[in-house]
Amino acid sequence: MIQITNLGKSYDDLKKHLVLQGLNLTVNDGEFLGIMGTSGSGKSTFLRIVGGLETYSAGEVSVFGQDLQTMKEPEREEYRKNVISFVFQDYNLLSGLTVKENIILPYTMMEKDDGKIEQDYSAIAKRLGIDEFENRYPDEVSGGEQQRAAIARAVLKKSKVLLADEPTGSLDIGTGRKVLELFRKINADYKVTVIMVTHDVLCASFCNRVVFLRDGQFVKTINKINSQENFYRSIQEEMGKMDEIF
Amino acid sequence: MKSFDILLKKSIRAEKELRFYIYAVFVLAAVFSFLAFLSGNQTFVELLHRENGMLSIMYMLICTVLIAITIYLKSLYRNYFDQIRRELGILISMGMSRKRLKKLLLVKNMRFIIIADAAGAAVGFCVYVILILHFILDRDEYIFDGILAGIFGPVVISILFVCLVGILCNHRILNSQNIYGIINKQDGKIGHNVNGAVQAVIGFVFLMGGNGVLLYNKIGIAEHSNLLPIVSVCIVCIGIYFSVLSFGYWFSAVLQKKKKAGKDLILLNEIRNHYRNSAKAMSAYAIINWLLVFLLVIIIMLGLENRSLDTSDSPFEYVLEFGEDQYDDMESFLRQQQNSIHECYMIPTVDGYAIYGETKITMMPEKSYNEITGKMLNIKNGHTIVLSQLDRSMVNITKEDDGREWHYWTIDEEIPINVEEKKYCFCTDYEIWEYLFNCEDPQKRILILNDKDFSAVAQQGSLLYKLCINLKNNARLDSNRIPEDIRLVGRWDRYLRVQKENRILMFSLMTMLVVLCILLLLTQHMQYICEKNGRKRDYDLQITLGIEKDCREKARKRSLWVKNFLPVFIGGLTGCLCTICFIKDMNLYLAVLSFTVFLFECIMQFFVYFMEDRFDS
Ligand SMILES: Nc1ncnc2c1ncn2[C@@H]1O[C@H](COP(=O)(O)OP(=O)(O)OP(=O)(O)O)[C@@H](O)[C@H]1O
Ligand SMILES: [Mg+2]
Repeated sequence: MIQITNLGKSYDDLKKHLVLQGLNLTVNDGEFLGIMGTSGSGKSTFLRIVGGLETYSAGEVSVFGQDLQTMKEPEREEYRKNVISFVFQDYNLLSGLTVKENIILPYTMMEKDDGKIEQDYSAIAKRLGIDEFENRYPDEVSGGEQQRAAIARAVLKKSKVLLADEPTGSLDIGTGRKVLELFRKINADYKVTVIMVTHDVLCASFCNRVVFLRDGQFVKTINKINSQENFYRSIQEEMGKMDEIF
Repeated sequence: MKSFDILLKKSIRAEKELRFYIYAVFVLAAVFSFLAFLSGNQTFVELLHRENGMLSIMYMLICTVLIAITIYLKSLYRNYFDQIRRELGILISMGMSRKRLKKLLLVKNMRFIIIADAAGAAVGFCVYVILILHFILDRDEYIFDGILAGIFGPVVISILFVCLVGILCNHRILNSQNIYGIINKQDGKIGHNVNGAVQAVIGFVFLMGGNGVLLYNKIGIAEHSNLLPIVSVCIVCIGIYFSVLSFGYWFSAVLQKKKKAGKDLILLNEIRNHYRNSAKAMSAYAIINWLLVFLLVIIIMLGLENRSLDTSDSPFEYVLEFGEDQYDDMESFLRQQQNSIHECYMIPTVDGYAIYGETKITMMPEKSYNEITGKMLNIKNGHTIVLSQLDRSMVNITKEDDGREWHYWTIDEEIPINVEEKKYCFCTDYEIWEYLFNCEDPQKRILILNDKDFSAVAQQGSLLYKLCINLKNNARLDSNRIPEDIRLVGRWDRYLRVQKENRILMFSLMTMLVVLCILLLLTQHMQYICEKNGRKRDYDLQITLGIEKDCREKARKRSLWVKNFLPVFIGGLTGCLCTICFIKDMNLYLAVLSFTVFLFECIMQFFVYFMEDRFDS
């Protein structure tokens, strides 16, 4: 369970501006959560804090009963290595490794069996259509292909929490759907908690629950009750309301 | 399937930058070891010791060079590190241990660094042997054992230490809790919240403080150790660093206010992105410039001193000193040289100690004085006349009513003298000031004794003869024929010796100058390389934005200008200030000289700027 109480985050700018302020959220194990909000509302910042990549200035973030701020460095390393996998908004592939090498890199940290690595890799690669360009370097493939590689890298590990920052931003609807189905599958099969930031209503409708971020807080929660279609409609409605405000 | 370690190694590679760093370690180790060996040279140290404060300068030099090297290597490693830090950040974000990453990098690079370091130090040693020992000191056989262990080891270790400091400082970036910041290189930019004014004040205070310490060192009465100049060097170095750094903040603030033309914005981008890193290299550059002023002034001073060396008023060209056992050898030598000798006197002397004050004195018979000068003294038994081989104007002379003069010993008093453990007493009549023969030590007094007294003393002590020779016109004494163990204490010899010593000193300082110039060029080159990488991406971006070449050129020129001349101005002016504060007998002439040297530096830098500008476009 991920429990966030009163989270606050500010950057030391000239004017101290608060990005997150008094944010509360509870994410249950095995949940598939969507986060929506306008650009610059602090979604990526929130995700990075949960991923242990950034510190925060106030409040508490506890993941599986452990408080992030009080963790020691070795614990943090373990946390990043075993608990979290991250899909960055700007992919962050290593430029010196081929796409395939990039994808298997974190997996090799925990899995020593080469056969198993190869097997798991090819399953995901086939699913996301990566095998066609797996031996090229990141700067030799398109933005969407890089994004798929980044997703494959995060998914392959099957860690307890998957954090994805706009994972389908550069993908066409068809490929995007495949990615989301993959998320849904690992969420269902391996009980991986997925937290996904997205701008796209269709994407959001794949989740079990969607929260809306504004003024540094989650202002609204919508649960998926029956069909995906109804869920889609209610998210769209909420988005319309948000637009009116601005 | 590749294992994790192979992937890891493959992902953090920046061969070109690493190679450059290793080369730099090699060259700098060579330069530093050369300087260290030079300053460890016995002859050299003795020569320096004789000059006023020169030894301190030597230590200052070593210290500053080491500081410059430290800064230099640190920013060079940063150049390498910047190429891989995004990768390192990503690896950390995936749960890779920071400690393990740091260790991996350190182990991977340390091997090369150690090799480069040791090889460089060895090369520096070879250059030292060839250049200094062989060419300048004319030494054919070298004694290595002590030097090698005593200097080589510390040199290698200190360079290694310097490398380690630079590397660890850079690796500290990886400790940041903001991992996303490591990936995106969020530090290193000129930030909003750092106060340029505070830095400038710190810089100014340190600069002035350092000079204050130097000044204190100069006028302080107490015997000063070498520690004080070194401390002041460190303070001044910090001052220079902050001054250089604060300039970036000032400059970007000014540009931000202006912000009208596109070229200002491009320059602003460049300053913000690159200034903080290049400020370190610039400080090293400024420090070397500072030293250069200092060194050049000293060399010029020595050069001038060299010309006015022959001030001695001694009447003999050669004075040879020998003992009784060599009397026969000398007689035969004189017979051989008969044709070239114009006049020649043999003065028997005996050395002893004045019991009060433990001063060494020399005694000679009245007869010899009479022989050389033709004057009679008529010294009574048990009496003596004090001879000081000095200019009268150098001492305060007391004149008695009866016309007798004295300075050193009160007259009509007995001076107890110890000659080979036997005590004699002589009553002083008066003192005379005259250059009878040359002597190395003008403080040494001579007692002229009655001939009878002298032979009594001579029976107790051992006789030392002073052979005073003047040669015929154009003749030369065949100094190879002079029997061994005979000391030449004559004027001519002293002149030659001092001249040679000064020449050695000049040469050594000159080589140091060359070393510094090499260091300067290297720094310049490194700065150039470092920025080229960063700048290229910005350039490509600017081209895609359709920014005119003209506009880019102007911004580039301006930033080049800043990077070329700021260190020279700060370093050079500090150099002038330090010269004024440090050199003991400072006068207007020397002050003007140091500013001339500074101007000269500016002109030199202009050429460098010109070349670089050409090379760049
Ligand atoms: N390093 C930083 N320094 C100062 N402010 C920052 C920094 N990083 C982000 N911000 C600010 O924090 C706020 C939130 O940024 P964040 O990237 O979390 O937004 P986001 O919701 O992910 O936006 P988007 O949907 O456009 O990705 C923004 O206003 C941004 O300007
Ligand atoms: Mg974002």
